[in-house]
Amino acid sequence: MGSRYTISTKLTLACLSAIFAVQVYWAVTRPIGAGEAYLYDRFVRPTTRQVLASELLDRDVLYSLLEKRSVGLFHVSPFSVRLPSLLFGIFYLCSSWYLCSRWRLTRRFPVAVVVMGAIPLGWGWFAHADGTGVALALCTGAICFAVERKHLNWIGLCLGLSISANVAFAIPAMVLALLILAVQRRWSEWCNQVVIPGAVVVLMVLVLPLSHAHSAAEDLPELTQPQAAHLKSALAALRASAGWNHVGIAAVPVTEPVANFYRAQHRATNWLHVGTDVASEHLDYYLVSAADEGRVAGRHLIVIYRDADFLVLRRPVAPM
Amino acid sequence: MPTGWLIVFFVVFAAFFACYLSNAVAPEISPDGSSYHLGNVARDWRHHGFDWSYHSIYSSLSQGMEMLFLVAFSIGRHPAAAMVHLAFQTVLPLLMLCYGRRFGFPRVGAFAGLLVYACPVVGIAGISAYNDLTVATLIFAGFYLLQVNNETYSFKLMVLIGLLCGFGYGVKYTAGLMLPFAAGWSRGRRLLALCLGAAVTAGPWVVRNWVWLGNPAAPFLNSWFPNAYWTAAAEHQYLAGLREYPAFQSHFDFVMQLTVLGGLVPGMIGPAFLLLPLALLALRYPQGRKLLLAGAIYSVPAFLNTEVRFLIPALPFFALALGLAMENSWGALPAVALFQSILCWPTVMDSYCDRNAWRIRGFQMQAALRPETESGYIASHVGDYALKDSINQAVPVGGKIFSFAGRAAAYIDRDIVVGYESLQGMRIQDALQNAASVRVAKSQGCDFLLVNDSDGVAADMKQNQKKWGVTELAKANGITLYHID
Repeated sequence: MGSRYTISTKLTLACLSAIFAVQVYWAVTRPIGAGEAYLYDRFVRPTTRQVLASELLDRDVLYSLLEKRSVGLFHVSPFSVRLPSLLFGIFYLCSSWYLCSRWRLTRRFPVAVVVMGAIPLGWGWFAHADGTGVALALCTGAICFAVERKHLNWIGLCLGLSISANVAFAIPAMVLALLILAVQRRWSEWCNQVVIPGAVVVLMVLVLPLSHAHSAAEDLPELTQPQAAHLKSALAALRASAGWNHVGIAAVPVTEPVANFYRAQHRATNWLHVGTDVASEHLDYYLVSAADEGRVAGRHLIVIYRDADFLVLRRPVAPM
Repeated sequence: MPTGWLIVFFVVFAAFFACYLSNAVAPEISPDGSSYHLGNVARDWRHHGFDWSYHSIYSSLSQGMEMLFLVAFSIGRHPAAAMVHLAFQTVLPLLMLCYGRRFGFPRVGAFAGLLVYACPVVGIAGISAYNDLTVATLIFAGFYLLQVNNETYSFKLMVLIGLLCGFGYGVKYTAGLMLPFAAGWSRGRRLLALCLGAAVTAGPWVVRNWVWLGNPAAPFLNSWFPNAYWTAAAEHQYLAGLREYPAFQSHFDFVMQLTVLGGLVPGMIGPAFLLLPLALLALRYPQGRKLLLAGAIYSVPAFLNTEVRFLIPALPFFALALGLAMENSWGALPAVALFQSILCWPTVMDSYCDRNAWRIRGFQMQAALRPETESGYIASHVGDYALKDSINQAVPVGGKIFSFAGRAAAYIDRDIVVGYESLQGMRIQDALQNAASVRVAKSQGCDFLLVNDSDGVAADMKQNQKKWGVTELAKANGITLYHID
């Protein structure tokens, strides 16, 4: 009997490790995006009661809960908000490994595993603080359990959790459930072990957040990597300029959650208010995109930071 | 039955029972309880029998529950009546547990019992002097006995089922569905026994209304039985009002209001009932099919009345069907039962449901054990109560008061003629609203008026008392008592 770890499996493991290492590197180094900051600022930072009162639609309820736990343990940072995604990345890679090995793709096994592991890499799903990666990992897990045919209850559980992690996965999860029925053709088991656990999990996680989500979801344009890096620099310049003074800050909608995230990350409690009321003339700092420069023109503001994407402006009177 | 389930059932049951008991022992403040349910009881108590000269749609409804209330009222007044209803509420989950055990699914019985018992609308209705939980318990008991009778036929059992059907009708007309439902299961002698039993307990109410009002189904079916106290047009208008829902943003919003939020509909049934579509999976089993059929039939009244409590009689059947559907799914029953119990605990509901939702707010130990005075507690919840003393002083015994809106008649020892509750009241209301005249009221024996600030004539009457021929006697909580000069 040959060793379980042939050269090809070792090579595959090395590739998967490399893929995961890249994800970890991205999770640590990439500046926070607008969507990630929005999720943190609207659904993770406030208390549950405040979130329910806000009536905003949270599409990543399970991820918000996991992120809340992660932030509670490791404080606010781009890495801590992405940690749940990263952990589910490991789960995804293990599932990919298992699936490919089950399908006996002996020769193509390494290629299949690496391709499956690398697909999410292209989008950075496991280095991004939203429910997509978690939902994908859970769906893959559900497929594994379906292939294994042992722990059928876990299929429903995984599918339910995947919908809870990102409601956009509702249709893919349902299609997957129907595919499992089509393949296994065991109606009663399918009902008891896929549909019911899935529905119960979805109900338990989503019922309160969705029942209160009367407001339309805010659609923020996602920042590109250079824009996110520029915004981080702009906020650093603002922080340096404000020092320990108590200041009020106005930001355009796309930058406001990021500014709030930055404020929480650096515990900048002297930033009294980060709002979107750029039209107000009484605030100390204005963080606007280059395209919105016209909105603050004519106020004789002092530019303290400027790049291709963002400007930070200060009122002439120094804050006390 | 697994010991774990027994422990879970009785721990949750005991916690909710303690909460419900403290609320039931507190003075009665529910809207319908303090107005017509106990209003009728108080009037019967004062008159030592029915007041045949008093006509209202609510006094012409069958009064089976009020007869039980009357006995309790004679001993412990208003809260005692609520305690009678609490007794039925307490029996219901235990009956469901027994049903599950008897027919081979004890975990489902315990699950469904908890689901229903923790339900917010079941909680608040059960601690009030209402009759919905009595109806639900009678209906479920009738169904239970029918199933038992299917196994071992007994003539006596059929008579008992008939008695329950008739008593159900005596408690609330909507429970009249019990009889055709049970008849569907019976043939020949069984049917005879059923009808015999039903006639004993329902008959007196039919006869009373036929003799007294000329309409055995009063206050309904007035087009078939025309009478001097209520018209078909008024009946139609009244029923249309009961069916009217507020505007919802979407069907999703409606379902959420019904189960989780409870602000736009009076009451809610709890988040776990969002899983009800899964109950259709119970169609796989014969018991499931029976339960779903019963649930569907007993939910018909809910389509005719927007009050969520009209769904209560159907909930035990749907909860059992849901439990049957989920029985073979590992961990689903305890998870959902505990989920419902936790989310429906009064203090937990504070964090998610609508502020105005009709529900229990928590333990009422202060009011229950009376360190807080009874009158103080009632006055803080029932607006009309502030005028009780003024009415007792100004209105002579036997005097009548007209009011546009329903009043807390249970706490006011004088007869109140309400505008929409009888033909007499509607005549007075029309004269006041259209002709600005109090003469009709006076001619009908009403020497006093109770007017809310929100009533159409309130502002004019207040400013032009001489023109109207009235004198203001007292005012509190936006309600004014006038004497007709």
